[in-house]
Amino acid sequence: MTPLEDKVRRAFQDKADQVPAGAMPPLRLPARRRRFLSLAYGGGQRMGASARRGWLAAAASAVLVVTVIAGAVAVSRVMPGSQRPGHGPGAVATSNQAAAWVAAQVSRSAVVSCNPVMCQTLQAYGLPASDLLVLRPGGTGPQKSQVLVATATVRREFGGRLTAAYAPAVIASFGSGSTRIDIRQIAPEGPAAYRSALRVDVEQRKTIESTLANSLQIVAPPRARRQLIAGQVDARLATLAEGMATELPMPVDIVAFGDMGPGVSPGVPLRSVTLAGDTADLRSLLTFARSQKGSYLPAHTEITRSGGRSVLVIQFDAPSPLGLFDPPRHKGT
Amino acid sequence: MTLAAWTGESHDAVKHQYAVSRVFVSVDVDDVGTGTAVDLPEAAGLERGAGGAEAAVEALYRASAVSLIRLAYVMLDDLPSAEDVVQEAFCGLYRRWDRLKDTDGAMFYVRASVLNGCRSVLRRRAVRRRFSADQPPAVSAEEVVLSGEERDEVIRAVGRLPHRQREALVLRFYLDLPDEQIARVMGIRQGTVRSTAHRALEALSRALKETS
Repeated sequence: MTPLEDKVRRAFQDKADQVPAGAMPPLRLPARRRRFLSLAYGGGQRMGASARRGWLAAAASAVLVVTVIAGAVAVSRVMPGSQRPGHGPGAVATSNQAAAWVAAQVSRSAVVSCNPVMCQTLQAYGLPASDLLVLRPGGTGPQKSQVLVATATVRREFGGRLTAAYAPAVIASFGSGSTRIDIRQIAPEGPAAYRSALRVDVEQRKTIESTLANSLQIVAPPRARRQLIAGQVDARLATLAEGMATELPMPVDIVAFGDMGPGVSPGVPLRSVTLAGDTADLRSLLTFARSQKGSYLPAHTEITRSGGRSVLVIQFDAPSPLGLFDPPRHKGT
Repeated sequence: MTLAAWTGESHDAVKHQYAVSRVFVSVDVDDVGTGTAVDLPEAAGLERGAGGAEAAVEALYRASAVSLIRLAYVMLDDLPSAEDVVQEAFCGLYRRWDRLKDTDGAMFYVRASVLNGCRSVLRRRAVRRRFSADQPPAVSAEEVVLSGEERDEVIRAVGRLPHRQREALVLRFYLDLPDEQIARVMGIRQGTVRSTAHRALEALSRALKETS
């Protein structure tokens, strides 16, 4: 075997090994369709029944089918939580994408609310059942969770209350039309309070991140600089960058900020950054990032290579907390 | 009942699928599975009716889905699409369950469907790129983080090969199939397999030299 063949073999094997043994999405089988006449005649012939009995069976089958459909429609109206979010390969792919995103991006300390089918999918992607709040018709709402996975079923169940009462902001969105799945951030004190807090947070981010953009210790391309000036960067990330710029001797060379959520609402901040530098500098930055505590400890940090150079990727989990830049409150003020 | 009858497809397509299936069962590759170890609810025959079919298809899925997803992932380099192809293959199996003659037929069908599904996805991608003038998607930071550099380069270079060359490499170097069986799977002659694989390796070698 030539070295190239060996390289190809190892690459394929490594690639295949990226799919973990337990990462099997739940199987969603479609409703099976039977040919109407084969049910009547085929069954009758096997049983030795007459053609008349076959027609009777066909008529009985038709009545049964109509009854079952009517029953199913009635049940689906009463129990929307038991419906599947969609059918077909597109729906399955969207559901898997959304579940994979939640498993990779949402904070481990967040409780995620979802309809029963979506919760099963999330469990298949590794979310523990204790972190899931299953939404059932007539049950409690999603208020006690931090993140809501809004499938078509959930949208039907909650209607306008979804944005008006529970979760005004989309932090990621997958698919389109009836198969669309939005990942929403729950507003524990209501949407009005959330919007107000978001407005304040954006203004505070603008002020602090503009200072960062003008720091001589920060090297950033125009796009990243504009994002800082507009206050589009997560407060935890900006605080970390500021810490690096003030406490470490090397400049913080920003390649780009990343938005880990497709289709996010305006104002929802960017939660990842890619930094460039030589290996020793990146190791110092990595050590600094990993030494942070509490909310300021990134969910993911790693040195890798991109575009022919070494980079450090830092990512915080979702949802981004608001109010981190609030001035400390004192009693009596 | 002929194979064409239960798959409901053209004779050529079925012949091709059957060839694929025959190849898989005759190869001792653990990752793909031979199908003999699958614990189906009914060993002697196929349990008819929706409940029996569902249980059997789910058992088969549990036993073989991961290895099939891996195969599709190597072919497509995209996990959601790979999962989708496998999901579709099992949905197709479920729809045709009553027409299968035995459980081996189930394994034949689902494996062939996965490879056919991969070909369809690759064709659709190629058409989309041709009409939208899109380049292959840039590698995301997450992908970069998750992947080794050398492997990533090889996989990217394989992804730029024509579909037939890519398939020949996957069948030869991932499934370890001999040329004779690759020829049956791909519906081409052994000589064509050798020349296709040779051209693929040459192109790969050039691409990897350019990037290094």
